[in-house]
Amino acid sequence: MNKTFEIAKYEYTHHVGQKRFWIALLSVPLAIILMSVFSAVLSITSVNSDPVGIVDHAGLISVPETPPEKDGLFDVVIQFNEYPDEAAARAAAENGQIQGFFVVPENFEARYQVEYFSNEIPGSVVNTQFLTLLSNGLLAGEQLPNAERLLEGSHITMRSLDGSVTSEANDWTRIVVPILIGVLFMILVMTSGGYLMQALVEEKENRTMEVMVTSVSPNELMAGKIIGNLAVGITTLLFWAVIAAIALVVFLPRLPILSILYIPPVNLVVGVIAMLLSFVSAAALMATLGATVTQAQEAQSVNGLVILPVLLPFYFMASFFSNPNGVIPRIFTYFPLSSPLSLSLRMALTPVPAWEVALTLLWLLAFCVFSIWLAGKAFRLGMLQYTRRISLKELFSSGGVR
Amino acid sequence: MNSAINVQHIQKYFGQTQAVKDVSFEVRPGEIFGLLGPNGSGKTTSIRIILDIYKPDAGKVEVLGGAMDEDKKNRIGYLPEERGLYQDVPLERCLTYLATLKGMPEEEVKAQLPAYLEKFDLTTHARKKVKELSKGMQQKAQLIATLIHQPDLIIIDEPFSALDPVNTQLVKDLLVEQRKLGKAIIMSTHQMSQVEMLCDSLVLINSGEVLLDGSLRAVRDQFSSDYLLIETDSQLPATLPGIAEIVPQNTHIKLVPQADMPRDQVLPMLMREGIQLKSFQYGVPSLEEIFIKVVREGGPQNE
Repeated sequence: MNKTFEIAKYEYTHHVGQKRFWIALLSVPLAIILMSVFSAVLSITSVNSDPVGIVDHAGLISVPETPPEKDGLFDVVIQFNEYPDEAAARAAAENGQIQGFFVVPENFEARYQVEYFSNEIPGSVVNTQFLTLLSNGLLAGEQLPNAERLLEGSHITMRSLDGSVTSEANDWTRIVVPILIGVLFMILVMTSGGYLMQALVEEKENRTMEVMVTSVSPNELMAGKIIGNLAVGITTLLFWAVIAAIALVVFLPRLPILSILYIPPVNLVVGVIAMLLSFVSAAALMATLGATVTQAQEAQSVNGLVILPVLLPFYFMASFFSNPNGVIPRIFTYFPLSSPLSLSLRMALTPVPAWEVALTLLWLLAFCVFSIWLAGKAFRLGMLQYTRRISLKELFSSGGVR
Repeated sequence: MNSAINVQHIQKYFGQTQAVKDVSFEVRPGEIFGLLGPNGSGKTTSIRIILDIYKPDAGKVEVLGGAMDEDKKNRIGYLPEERGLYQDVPLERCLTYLATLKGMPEEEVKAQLPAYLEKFDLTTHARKKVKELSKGMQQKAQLIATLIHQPDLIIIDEPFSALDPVNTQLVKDLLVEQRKLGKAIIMSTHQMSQVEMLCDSLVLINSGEVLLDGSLRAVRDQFSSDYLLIETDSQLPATLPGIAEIVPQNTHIKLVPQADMPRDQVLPMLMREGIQLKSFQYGVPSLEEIFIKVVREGGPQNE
């Protein structure tokens, strides 16, 4: 156990002390910040925030004297100006005082149609804010107790026949967290798994393997390397989590959309368990590849075999939305490397039977045990093969090494 | 005295190839033991079987009084043929890490390491990355990793391969010092002169089989010849009493006695003949000659 700890400590400090680790660590939050700033600037500059005119022949709309405050940092508030007739509004538009104007006909409530005059199609911000004004005007005379809720539209809750599993329809915010789990899993596999494979190949390249196995048992060596490199991955995730938490604290009041991101606790627990089991499998498979190849460069070219399946659900996202319990989402759920994202996504989109969740987790556990066994076998067979790659046939036949 | 290593009739196959056919030997504490053989003879495989990296298909190995286990790994120092150190880390850190894997507490390593670095003239390189050191320096560093935890059993494969004469002498002195401390040492090398100078006993294997074993003296006696070598400034006559052949060599003259002439009568005969001798020695083949002869002919039984 002591030696496992020593190996884990060495692996951890060795990787964390390298420049490439810090570049990888800092580049992701920096890239996200840059992309967010870029897209925010792009969205703000692409929205025409010039005032919009209203000619209200029906007398429905009352424009507040002071425009509403911005909810979010990047929200745009359109100033609406009322005009007595279309000629005045047109003149203002032609002078460039307004970008266009709505005309609400006198008999609006007969056809519920308005007209918009402009040389540009109005942006969604203009439409939404005008509709809010119009809806408020229409409901102003009514004595409805839940007028605001009425404007939100329907909320449908789907429930399994036995009532054990529920899912909200139209609640797109629920898939954000599963996708986040998928992205984190992918990053964990690419960093920690990659480091692990690298560490094993370097052991061969440096010719230190023989000294290692005469100092520690293969199990201690493997366990130390997996723990050390997993800790590197977890450090990365924790660092990003802290950055994300700081960002949330700073931006939450200004970005109210973040507060509605939600995942039921059960889904979160299942997602995290699936992620950990899959990670150990992925790490063990990476270790298997690392033990069978002979050079770091060769290892780089084969690690795609493990990373590609992790990415598969992203390519087939449409299948998950159209039928979360369809064949493709189910296959990806049972495939160990694509399971964390697939299972979390399905649970967010539709009721997944409890037995299927349990079966998936059990299957992941079994695959995890198999992967560790395979990694151990590959390691024992390949550890002293400095120049020759181990074939699949050798891997699955009984070898003469310990 | 108990054996440090007792190897009995080990065999090892890799697929259809039999790398070790039948190898047996015994190494005692306080002994430097030569494990000799040409390339591909099965030496490294035998060492790996002793160290439990490979399981033998047949035969038995006892290490430090019993079967190999994890605890015994801390009592063994091994310098493998395929050697290497972590290239991208400072030398001091690399050696500390390897020593802790041999069960040494880090504080103890930190206390012992400076003396070893000093001894091997590596103190000024302690903070350099291993890849910045020369091949010879890396080999000395690896010897430190082999010895720092003060093992009871030392197994070294070609310990002099990258060393200059000064460092070769340093390592030889170190091995002799370890022998005096009662450590058992297995040395595998092709440098027969080093074996002659250092080893107490040896085994010579070829094609996975033992061709020759025993103490250095016994092996040399086994191959001693009847001829004698003399060095003289005197002009030798064409014939000498009791001598069948006189063969001038580079600096010496080889005398082959007749079958009925005892070797111990040759020196008195030369004195009687008035030959002024600068040196006189019985013809004993060098270990290198024995090695070549045995490997080519397949063992002393074919003499």
